[in-house]
Amino acid sequence: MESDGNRDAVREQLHEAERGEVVSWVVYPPTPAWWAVGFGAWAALLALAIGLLGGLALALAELASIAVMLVVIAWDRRRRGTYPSGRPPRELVGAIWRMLLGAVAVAGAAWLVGEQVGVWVAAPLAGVGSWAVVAWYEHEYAVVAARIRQRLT
Amino acid sequence: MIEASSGALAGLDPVLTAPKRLAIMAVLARSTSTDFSFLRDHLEVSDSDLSKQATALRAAGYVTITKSGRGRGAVTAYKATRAGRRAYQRHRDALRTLLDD
Repeated sequence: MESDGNRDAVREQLHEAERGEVVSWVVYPPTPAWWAVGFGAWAALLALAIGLLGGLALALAELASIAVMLVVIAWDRRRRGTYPSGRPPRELVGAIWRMLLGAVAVAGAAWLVGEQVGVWVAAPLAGVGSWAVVAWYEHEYAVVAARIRQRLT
Repeated sequence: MIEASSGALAGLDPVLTAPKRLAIMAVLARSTSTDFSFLRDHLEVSDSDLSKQATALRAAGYVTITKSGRGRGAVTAYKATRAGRRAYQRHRDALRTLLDD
């Protein structure tokens, strides 16, 4: 009996540890409505800069785009009260990979269209594509995160 | 079996045998840094209890504590040190071994 009690205590501690490990990934305030649109606008502007600028102007535009992303991440960290790092919960890995593949596909398509057609078509494509990928990812992520929270309750 | 259990017991960290401290380290091991209010809400503990546990973890060299801002906007953030992450992983592995034995 005592042995079973000890095992239950250990099991309980491991459960608490697992809950703690995933909490920064799955507990977060609602994503603002402008989030996906903002990413789309950012991607479109970056595509325009790459297509229209060169030399120092392009370097400055790229630095500015990185700075904007860092500011957004810092704002998101502050809003959430934490920020996940390390290995994500296994249920989220599929969504993260699909988002990364989607981002690469959008970047590749925008580059190809930019080369073949022109930057004024590539930039909206990058914008709309990024918006769609981020909107889908946010939705998918929220669904999986809710499932994980439920499992660990 | 006894040897394995002895080994697992040796891997248990006395600082982390307290459930609240283990829970704090679990959160910090998988985050860049975490604010006081987030930890308090996750652990469902009082401000003073969280402060006490965090102070014990800092004394062990497992977390760093930074305070920024003043008044109502002040934020206290916790971050696991490398030693803290290692200790947490060892302790977690030992718990897993105990359960598997």
